[in-house]
Amino acid sequence: MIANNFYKIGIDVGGTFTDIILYDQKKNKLYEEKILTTSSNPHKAIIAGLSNITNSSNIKFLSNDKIDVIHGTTLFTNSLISRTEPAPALFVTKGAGDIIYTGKGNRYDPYDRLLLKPKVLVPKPLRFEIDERILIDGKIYKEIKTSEINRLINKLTNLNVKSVAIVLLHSYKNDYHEKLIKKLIRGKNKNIHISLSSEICPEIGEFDRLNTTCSNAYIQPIAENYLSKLNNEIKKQNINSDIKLIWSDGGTASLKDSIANPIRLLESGPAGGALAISYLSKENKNRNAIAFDMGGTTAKICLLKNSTPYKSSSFEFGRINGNKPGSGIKIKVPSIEMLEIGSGGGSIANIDELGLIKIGPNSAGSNPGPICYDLGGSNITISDVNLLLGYLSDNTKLAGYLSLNKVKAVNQVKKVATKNSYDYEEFVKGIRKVVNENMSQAIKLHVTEMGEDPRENILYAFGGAGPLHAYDLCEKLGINSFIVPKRAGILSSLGFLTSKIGLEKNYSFLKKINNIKLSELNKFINKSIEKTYKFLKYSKIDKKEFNTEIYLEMRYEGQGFDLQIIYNNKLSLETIKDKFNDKYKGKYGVSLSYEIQITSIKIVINEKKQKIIKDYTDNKEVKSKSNKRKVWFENIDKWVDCKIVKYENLEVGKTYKGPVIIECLNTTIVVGNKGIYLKKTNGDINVNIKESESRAKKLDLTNPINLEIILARLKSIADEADNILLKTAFSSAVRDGKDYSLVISDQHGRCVGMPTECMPLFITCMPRTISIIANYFEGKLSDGDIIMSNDPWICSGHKSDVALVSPIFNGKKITGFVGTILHVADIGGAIGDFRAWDFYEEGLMIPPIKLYKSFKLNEELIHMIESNVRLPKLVLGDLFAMVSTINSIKSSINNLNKSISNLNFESIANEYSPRMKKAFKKEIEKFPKGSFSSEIKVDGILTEKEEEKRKDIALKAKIEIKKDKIVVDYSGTDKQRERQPINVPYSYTMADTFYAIQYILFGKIPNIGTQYCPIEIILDENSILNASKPFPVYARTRTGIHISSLINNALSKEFKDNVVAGCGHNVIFRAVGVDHKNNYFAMTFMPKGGMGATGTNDGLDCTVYPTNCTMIQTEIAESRAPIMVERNIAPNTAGRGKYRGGAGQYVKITSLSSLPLQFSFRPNFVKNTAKGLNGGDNGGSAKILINGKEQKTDPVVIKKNEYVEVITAGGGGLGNYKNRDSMKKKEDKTNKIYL
Amino acid sequence: MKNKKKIHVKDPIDLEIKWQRLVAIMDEIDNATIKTAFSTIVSDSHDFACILLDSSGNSICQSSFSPPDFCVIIPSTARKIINALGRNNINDGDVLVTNDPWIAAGHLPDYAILTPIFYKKRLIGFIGTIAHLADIGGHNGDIIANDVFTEGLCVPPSKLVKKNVENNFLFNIISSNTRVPDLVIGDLRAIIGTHKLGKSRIEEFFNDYNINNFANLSSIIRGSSEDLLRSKIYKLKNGIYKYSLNIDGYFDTVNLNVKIEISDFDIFVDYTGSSSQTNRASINCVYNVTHSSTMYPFKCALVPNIPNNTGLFKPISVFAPKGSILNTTFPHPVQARAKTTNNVNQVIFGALSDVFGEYAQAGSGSIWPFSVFGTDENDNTFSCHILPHGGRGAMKNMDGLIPIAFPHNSVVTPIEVMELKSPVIFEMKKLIPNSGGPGKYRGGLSQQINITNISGKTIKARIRPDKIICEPKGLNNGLSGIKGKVIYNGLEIIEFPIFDFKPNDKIELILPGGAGNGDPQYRSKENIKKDLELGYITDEHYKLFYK
Repeated sequence: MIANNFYKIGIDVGGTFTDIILYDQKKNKLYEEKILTTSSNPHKAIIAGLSNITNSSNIKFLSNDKIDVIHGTTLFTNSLISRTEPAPALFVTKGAGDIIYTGKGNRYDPYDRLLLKPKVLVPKPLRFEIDERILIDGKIYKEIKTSEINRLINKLTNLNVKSVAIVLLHSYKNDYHEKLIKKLIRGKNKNIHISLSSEICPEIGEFDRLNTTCSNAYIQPIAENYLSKLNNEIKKQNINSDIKLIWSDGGTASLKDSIANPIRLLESGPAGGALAISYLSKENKNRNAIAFDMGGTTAKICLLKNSTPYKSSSFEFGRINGNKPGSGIKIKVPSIEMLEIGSGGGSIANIDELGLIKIGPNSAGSNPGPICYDLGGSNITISDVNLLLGYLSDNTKLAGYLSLNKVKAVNQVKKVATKNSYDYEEFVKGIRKVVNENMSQAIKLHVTEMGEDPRENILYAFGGAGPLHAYDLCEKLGINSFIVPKRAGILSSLGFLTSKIGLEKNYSFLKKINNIKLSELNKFINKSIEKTYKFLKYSKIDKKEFNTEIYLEMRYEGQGFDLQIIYNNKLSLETIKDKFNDKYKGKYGVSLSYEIQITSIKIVINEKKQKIIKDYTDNKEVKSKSNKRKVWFENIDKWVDCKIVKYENLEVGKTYKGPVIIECLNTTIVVGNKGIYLKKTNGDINVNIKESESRAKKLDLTNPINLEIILARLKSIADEADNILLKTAFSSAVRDGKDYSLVISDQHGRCVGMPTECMPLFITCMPRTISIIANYFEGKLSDGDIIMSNDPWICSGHKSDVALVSPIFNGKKITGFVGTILHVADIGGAIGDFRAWDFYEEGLMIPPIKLYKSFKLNEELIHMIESNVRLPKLVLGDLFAMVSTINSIKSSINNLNKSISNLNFESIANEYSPRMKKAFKKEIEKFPKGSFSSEIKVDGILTEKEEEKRKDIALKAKIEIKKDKIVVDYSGTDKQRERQPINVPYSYTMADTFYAIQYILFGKIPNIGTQYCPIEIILDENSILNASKPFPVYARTRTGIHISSLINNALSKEFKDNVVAGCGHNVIFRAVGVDHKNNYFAMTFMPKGGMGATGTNDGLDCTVYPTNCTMIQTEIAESRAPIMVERNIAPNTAGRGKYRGGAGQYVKITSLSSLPLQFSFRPNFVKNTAKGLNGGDNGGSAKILINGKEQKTDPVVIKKNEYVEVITAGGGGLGNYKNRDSMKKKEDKTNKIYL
Repeated sequence: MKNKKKIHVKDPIDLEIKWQRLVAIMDEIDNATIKTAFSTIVSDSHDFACILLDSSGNSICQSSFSPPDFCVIIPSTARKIINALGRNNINDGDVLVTNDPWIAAGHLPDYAILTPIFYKKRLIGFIGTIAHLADIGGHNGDIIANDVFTEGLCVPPSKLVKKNVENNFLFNIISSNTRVPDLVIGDLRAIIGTHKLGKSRIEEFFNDYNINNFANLSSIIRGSSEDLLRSKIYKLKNGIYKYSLNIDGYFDTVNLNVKIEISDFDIFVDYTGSSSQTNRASINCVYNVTHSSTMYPFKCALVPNIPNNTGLFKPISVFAPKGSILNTTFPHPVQARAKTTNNVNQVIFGALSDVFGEYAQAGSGSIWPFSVFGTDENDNTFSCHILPHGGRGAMKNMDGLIPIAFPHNSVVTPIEVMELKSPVIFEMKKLIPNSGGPGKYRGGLSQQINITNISGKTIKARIRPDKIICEPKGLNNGLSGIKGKVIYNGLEIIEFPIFDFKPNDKIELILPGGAGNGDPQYRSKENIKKDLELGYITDEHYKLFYK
């Protein structure tokens, strides 16, 4: 039968609105409809909206019409975030049952005292551990027992579970056990939903795989329920074919495939927007584009190259803390790469402790909303500012229905401005300037990170607030045109219409390129392609109509991030290597002569056909009636009597000149004086900005707005460099633990810039290191010098922390320094944390020496390092990553010098300094004055001397809060210890003291180094907290971490709500040996103890404080060493209290090596456990067992199949247990915190 | 390979004069080193060697007191340094250095320092010194180590001086990585100085004799030495000789296994079958030291009077499988390699006891380095050591000597000096009756040393005993000497990390005795009588072994 007509329908169901767009091919016309979402039965709104469209357009579907319905929705994301559905059950390998909960054990914000983690997807009672095991090579180590599974399946029936996730270790390598469990479940229960990790996410790294598979299982029941119901309802509308779904990576897939993999639908809404821009940019022949979507709470940025959006292999959903990266759940499925930043129309502008303007991430939302909504909001938002500056009008109704109250906004903003001694008008302009600066920096960072230049792109602005800011952003970024699409209001559903069937899938490969044959690679690729097509088995694919793209994800062996190259079977292995090296060099400035690894193969399949949708707009007779009002423009810093026009009144094809404000139904477009704009036949508004000579500006730094802008700029420079370090580093401590940092300082070492995320300890140490090195080399530095040192007394307290410091020159003058510090994988010396008896046994000592002298590498130093560390490739790799980082900062600053003529770090620091001091003083004034003391005993270490075995260390502090400063006096603390590398050099004591005080008392003041803080430290000579050479210091953290506990104890009575009870920290231990390939390995484990309870919250379980490193994932650990890892929460370790401490962790490591493995431990809290405060109990103690018996010696050597077990300490409780909420007591029981 | 070619020495007198003059120059350097060095291990213990090399790295001669093992090693060290830095990058005024165990002398404290000699702008040779420096950081010489990184700073082949200018970078790193920078840097500078002196002496030598290089002289010396050794080898009985010996090792007993083939003018020594290297203790030997330890018994037996030079190493090839304890691979620990090398001579003698005839020596008690260090009651730091020995093994025609160094040749610190420098007293230092292995010729007696800490302070002590598990073995039906024993406050101890020597603690060192040679039943009545008279053996012992 020949189709009568062809229709396409795009449906986007969001939390508030359901957007529907219909395309009539015969008439070549688009119809749109927006209707409120009916949350309980979403299909109702869809059907209603659909009939609205057909009615208003007089369309009647006939049975021989061909109708494509393409659907995308955020409903599943919303239900995952709100957790309204029953949780799935999880079948997981024994010893990995709690990993989904304990995660990596670090904190995403090291300064947030009340930090929470996202709610676990599967609660403890639904996590079933299976006694089976598969090894890294796919071999079955322990067979599964059918009887065990059957018993568990019976249990499931009683629990009324609707779906099951099956995640077994190393199933990406061998899925036999996962499939077997599925078969057994199916045999007994036909209806239950089953998600296999080997199908959903066949990649190494159990933590992300667990979250991805469990999220899939979580939404599977509702996805099936909703989608099948919707499909039935749609069919009742005389539509014959099944609906199709948009996946997060922008491809479409059949209903059945989507029901099996609902996790793929999570980001389908935003994907639609990107698809629409992809389509429009192709139409407009501007292939490289930036999609900029600014809504009420956030702005999203997506980069398109050749009209194809960049993809990412993962994304995070449900961030619980503003928009903080890491506070959500990471899902490892391909999606369109999008950067989300916390600035939308509703974002709140605050004045921080330093008197600087900060925007977001909090939003006033729609209720109470901005002040001008007059719904009771009192926080200044971006929308208020846009109203006050004339971009919005109180004469026009927002979105056609909401009138704005300008008077209210003016009054409230004036009040805030006066209170913070800002001039009202300066303040309003300042907020707009800062938000524009933040967004332009974020865009720049994101675009450059992809290796692109923002100036070579066109910007597509949409969302309610996007077009209001697009002009300013383009000016700042040097972009010379932007487009506001006509259908900006329903862009996602428009995007759905243009989508094609497609899929992207990654397959772990993990082989060195030198060890493979091309035929082997091709065989693997062909198999992967087969699997990919099979994945969409219900989408009725004819391969001839599809393109298949193959990408190789590659890295230098040992790195943690991949670079991607396109593969076709004409490439030889040599060309693959060359391509990779070229790409690496292009991105990071150097290429290395290291082994190259292909980590995974990415297969992308896509329908060949492009769907053509023609859109046009009616060209009405234009009544040129326009208003005028005063509008302020940032680029000229002037109020202009600006023309205001209605979108409908613009004539198609005619060019106009700015400045102008164009008011549309859903948005307002701002065009500045250099803009020329045009309404195109399809209704899009195209704005070109005349290029102007960019000239170096002078910035008056006494103006706090300028100061904030320049600080934001330096932060973004540091962030860019931070990214380079992260991506090019080799050791996992750097990547996963972020065990490094970088600082931009003035010539005296005062910090003026640092990345958003950084190690608090290093940030505190680094400025001091810079100033010592600057003094040491005074008058002897030239451009291109990089100084290296690992002197514990200059850097951060032990030789493994290596610092690089480089002067920044402007002309012939040193204007500042850039410093980075990083924990290298090995520095030679004694193996085992407690082996070293003096400083000289702790490895290679590098006094301050030039690593580069006027851009020339000191080869001798490199040879020296090579000769003295166990893992020279790793160490030198990391060293060169640091060099790349430093070079990137220096070149960014050079560029900054070109646009700001008077860039001067010293004056920035001079401006910053009094502000910091004032902020501290203001806080200190609020505190009770007086002196607060505390003395605690902490564990000594296991030594060969029987009488000193774990001899306690007494730490003493007296904290005096004076009028304008805080003095911390450690007099009376034990003396430093011979032969015990737990002595703490001053640098580290200082850093931990500042951190603890900052954390408790000054959480809101940024930590940017010690020079700005009025905190004084007094130490005895030769105190264990003020170690001197040659006392050993390697494990200084072992003592240093207690500083925080000491300070919290001292302040516990006076600062009840601020303090944190004792934290269990972690038990660091190390395994050293030879792997099955006869390679030497050394691996550090850092299982986390529990955190102490805070004044208002329970302590986090298995989370580290005050350091912030992660615990290596089981699968990753097993891929690098011949061991088997099991770990779980350790019950009964959490200290009871009104708020309980966090629980510790149980880790068991079994040797699979035929050669002996050596372990050395750094136990803590074995005897003296983490202290409870204000009536709370102490946490449980840490234990170390070797083959079931207490550890007697250190190091310990174990043979094949022997094992070590470590239990970390729990955190202390806070307040009396009697006062604990009874619900919480019950929860503790179900979660098996207490048995 | 067989070699019967004979070098014809045209003018033996001229050769002898020149050779002796060169030896004298090296002796002068040696002397200057003793006089200018800062550390006692260099100046008093003479743990260094001065060697003259030609431009290809062949050794020509050395100072008279140079320890034999260093002499064998340095030519190979020199060649490796030259390769690493590139011959063309070596300039007049440079001084080259490394302590890489696989390039130099098998453990980190031994620094090899090489000064190129230029004559008329051409590189004509090197002066080389290998010296054991006072401290190289790391874990202070402990025998327990898992890898070489634990053992201290490793300086790869580098330039200590570049065209007469000190390499600040290197001095900076070395001094930052040693506990006693003054001693180490002092010794390095002293050696640089003696080489300077040597250079001018060599220049004078060249001027005096009007020659431009060593090429001719070197080949004559090497050639005639080689010829001599080959002629001695030719007199030995051709054949394949095997021997296997268990030695103490550390934690695990170590087996040394040798197969020696004598074939006309050549000797092939093959250690296949010996134990594998270990990563639990630092007793592994790099090939260099295995080679030199192997050369030593041959030299003693065959050409004891010829000064060491590369020519002497040619007829004897040594093979040890890679990864075995006698050819350890990077980065295995090597600090206490002497624990193994000290026993190499025993397997050679064991295998060749028939062939070497009177030169073959039964197993000897080893050297037991013992040191005490810490702070005395006035908080002054002290550190001193003695190197006591067990009894020496018997020869074919001679009883073993009483405690004397072999194969080491270090000096025992007098008790009075020890007691002066450290707060200990030697309550006993005497010979142990019956400790020598019975035989036609009896093994040398060993000694017992009792030491007590008489200060009020805990000090540190380190003992590195040997042959407490595997006793010294006899030859030709001679019997073993006694095993050693370490008794600490009355209890025998078997592990030896650095330990606390507390006030009034007593340590008793019972050293191993030398082994006997030949069946005891053939021992002469006269000798037995003498032993009984001197109390070297008791009646009981006599009844047990000689009656």
